[in-house]
Amino acid sequence: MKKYLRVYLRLIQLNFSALVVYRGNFASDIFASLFWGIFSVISMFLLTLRVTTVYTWSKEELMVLTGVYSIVIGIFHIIFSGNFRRFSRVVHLGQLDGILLKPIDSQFLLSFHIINYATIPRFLGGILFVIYFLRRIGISLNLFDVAMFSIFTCIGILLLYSVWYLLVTITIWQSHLSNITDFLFDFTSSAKYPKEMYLDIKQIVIFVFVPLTLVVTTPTKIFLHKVSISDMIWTSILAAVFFIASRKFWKFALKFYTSASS
Amino acid sequence: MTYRLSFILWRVRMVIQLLVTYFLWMAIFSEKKELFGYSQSMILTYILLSSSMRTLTMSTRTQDIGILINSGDLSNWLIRPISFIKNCISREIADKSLNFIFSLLELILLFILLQAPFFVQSNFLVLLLTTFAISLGVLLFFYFSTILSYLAFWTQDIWAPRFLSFIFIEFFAGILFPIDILPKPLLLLSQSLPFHYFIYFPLKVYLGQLSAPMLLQGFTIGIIWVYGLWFISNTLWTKGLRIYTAQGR
Repeated sequence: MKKYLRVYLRLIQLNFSALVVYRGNFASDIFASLFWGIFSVISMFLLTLRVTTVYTWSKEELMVLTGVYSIVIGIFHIIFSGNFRRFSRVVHLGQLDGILLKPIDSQFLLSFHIINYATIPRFLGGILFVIYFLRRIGISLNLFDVAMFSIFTCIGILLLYSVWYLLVTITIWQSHLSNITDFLFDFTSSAKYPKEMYLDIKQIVIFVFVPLTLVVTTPTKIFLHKVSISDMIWTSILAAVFFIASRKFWKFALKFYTSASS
Repeated sequence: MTYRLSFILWRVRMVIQLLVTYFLWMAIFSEKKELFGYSQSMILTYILLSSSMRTLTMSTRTQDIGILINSGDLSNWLIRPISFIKNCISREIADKSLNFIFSLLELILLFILLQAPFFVQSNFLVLLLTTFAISLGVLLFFYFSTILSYLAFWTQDIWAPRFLSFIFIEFFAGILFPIDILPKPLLLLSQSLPFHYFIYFPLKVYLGQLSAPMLLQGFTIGIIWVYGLWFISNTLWTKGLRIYTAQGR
């Protein structure tokens, strides 16, 4: 465990050094990330301009949901999404050989190699936004609420990470599958809307969309003091199941990795 | 068809984008019969059609031009006895045709599965005007995208301007919602930009919701925008070629 922590601290330093060298890229990445966050907020605001509730969610509660989505996605983009973008290139060019030869878990190294500091402003913006709208609704938070929110945000991110890892592992067999992360970005965007929006539709759609909506809806409901025990249990169970599945699938997939004459 | 799974993922992605927007509007209309001057069937028709419109006007291969310039591979094309721009246009037509065929099939499938209310335009003149509006949108997006790609003659970072433009287009083209639901200042701003010709304007023409003066105004401004973007695109191409050094070759 200490070894992994030391390696991760070193990766943080290396990524920071890269940021300092390519400052122009960093600045433009910050703009892009912030603009996406602002766009999500404005879109939700405009769509709910003339309605009071959407499936029992009030306008302000939907804005809190949008803010929590920025927090969750912000953390996910900081820690993981750069690594998933790199994934198919690593497999396709045979660079996975070097990773597998290192005396460290390959899933760890693939998942944590890149840290995207440019998304930190979006994450911070999400926090300010949530605080503002919670005050408007008149909800005051205590330490327990913040702790539960943090725990279920981490569980939600684990669920999201596991779903992504499960799908990008397919690149072991289809190494040119470079658009899988674009697909996953769009798929993940379904999480910024309430779970109840998908419950009225056909079973197969529920099965596809609802697990992902729990990533954001559950922590939001904790802040809104509306969370149910079943939501918390389902989020935890799905996170555990998908994480174990992603791990086992990765180990299974490595048996089929054939490199690219590196 | 060589990379079949990539192709399938790309089409599934398009369907997911459409479904999420569709369910969102279904949710918004769950407690109201009319909003922003639209009924539920009108808005759902708009959302379903915007998906097909998007594949027709906004699918493009012109982002590859920027990569060709930055890698120096543009040189391979410049020494060939064929026009690079005409080659790009041919690829665009092929790409859009493929996208549109699959988008139509998905639309039909979703229409059957979702039992969505759908408005079918039967006025021949309106359909003709819609075709003209779509052509405007296709040309505008082509020149807009090539302008972004030609920035590669001057900068290595072509991703950031393109990404930022996506955000503006998502907002002002009418993909997520018809732009006439925006507050008046934002509506005036979006109508002064060329983005609403990509999705919103052709769809409003198809739905028959524009009066004759509005149609005339829309088409006139659209043609001016086409000429303006063509001029900028040509100028950037000519100036860019003068400073092109095939860096990386």
